[in-house]
Amino acid sequence: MSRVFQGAFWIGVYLLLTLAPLFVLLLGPAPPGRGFWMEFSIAIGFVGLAIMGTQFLLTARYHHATAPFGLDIVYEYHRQISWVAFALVVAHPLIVFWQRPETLRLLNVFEAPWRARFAVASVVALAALIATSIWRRRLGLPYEVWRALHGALAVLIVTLALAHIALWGNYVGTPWKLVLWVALTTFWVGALVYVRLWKPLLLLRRPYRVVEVRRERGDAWTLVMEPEGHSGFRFHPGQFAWLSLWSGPYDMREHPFSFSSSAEYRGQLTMTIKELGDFTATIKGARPGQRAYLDGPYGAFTCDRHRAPGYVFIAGGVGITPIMSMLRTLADRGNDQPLLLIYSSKTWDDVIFREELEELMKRLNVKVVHVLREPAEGWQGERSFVTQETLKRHLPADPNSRDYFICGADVMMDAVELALTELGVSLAHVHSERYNFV
Amino acid sequence: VRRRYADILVVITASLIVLLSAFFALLQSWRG
Repeated sequence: MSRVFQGAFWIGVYLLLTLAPLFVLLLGPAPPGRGFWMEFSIAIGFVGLAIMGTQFLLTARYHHATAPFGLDIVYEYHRQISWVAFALVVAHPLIVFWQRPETLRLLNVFEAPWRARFAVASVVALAALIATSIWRRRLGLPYEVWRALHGALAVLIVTLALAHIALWGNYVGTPWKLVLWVALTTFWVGALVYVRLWKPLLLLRRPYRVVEVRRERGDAWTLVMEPEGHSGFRFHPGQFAWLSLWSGPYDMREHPFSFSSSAEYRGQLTMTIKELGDFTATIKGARPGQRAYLDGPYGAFTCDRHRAPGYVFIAGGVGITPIMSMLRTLADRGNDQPLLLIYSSKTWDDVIFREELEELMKRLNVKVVHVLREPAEGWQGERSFVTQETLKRHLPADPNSRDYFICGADVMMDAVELALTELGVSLAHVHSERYNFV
Repeated sequence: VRRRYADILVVITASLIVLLSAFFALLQSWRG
């Protein structure tokens, strides 16, 4: 099945799940004389709730559903569609107030019936969920605390909204309506059980063991891991997994990192992680023999997915990690296609994998261009940032004859993507992945 | 570039969701 078809299929499934409650409207006799706007208000309230319920599925990291898009797009969609859900659940009462102004008294939570109190509480909880997600860092919420709070608020929002519908009673009255609501709720709860209970159980049965913690240049550490009592999994070079190192898979402390090792070697796999804060600063403290859990592989950022006559890799700092996995894999496969690596680092001493890149130049048809932000005196190579001029100096005459993989800080990826389009490179040839999951 | 794909998906699905909600509401108001 082609990726486009798979993608269309999962979009169809998503629409079916979010629109399913609308069928409740059409089941059984219709209440007389309520008019379009009241019915529309109820419809968008239902759909808003269904979108929120389906959010559990979007973050369930279900391989088949995320593969056609890439997990970063699914998470970005999860973030953006929550705004749509928020708009719908806020518009739902606003339309009711407009059509029937006497219902405004329901906002007085001290005197309003419970069905209205539940609705108000659900919307307030949704606002809190969105606010804590947007301003997590500003609010000083550690990632693990935020994640636990996010899950708890999500369950609370959906439960309160269901209580609001149940107490209102108009749309749960007949057996079929009840069946539909119970089925949908079971589905949402099922997704939650899958993510929080079933999947961690599967991971628990397939642990990994740290065999080495290696210091790299540029304040980075390579974690070498081996599957313990199982054969591990296959991944495509450039993909990533969620790593739990200091705790079991039931804990909230898991973080996404790219594999840096070759996808052709199944015995061991490595992740190279730069010390940037919180969790990343603890990697160097890991000891051989320590257990680790890996939820993966995920991601669409791989040369296996985009066949081309040659590749250009553009990396910034630790963004070299997935690209190193691709280079190592291509070398193991005996690849002889023309490759170009443009690699931006702070100083010459900070160039992660510097020595190995020199070795890879002997095994691959690769040209490596280092760009240093703070070069030492006498540096003859590229300096400052990866600019349009840098690219122009090194890209082939027909830039569309290559596929481009960019990995680095957001600001660097934005600048490089813009520079490439200005050089006439079609966006279809440009691939990147953003790990900004929170 | 990647974010733009998510933007497009959100616009397409949100538009369909709102349009179909309106369609269902219209059907329901006719029935009532």
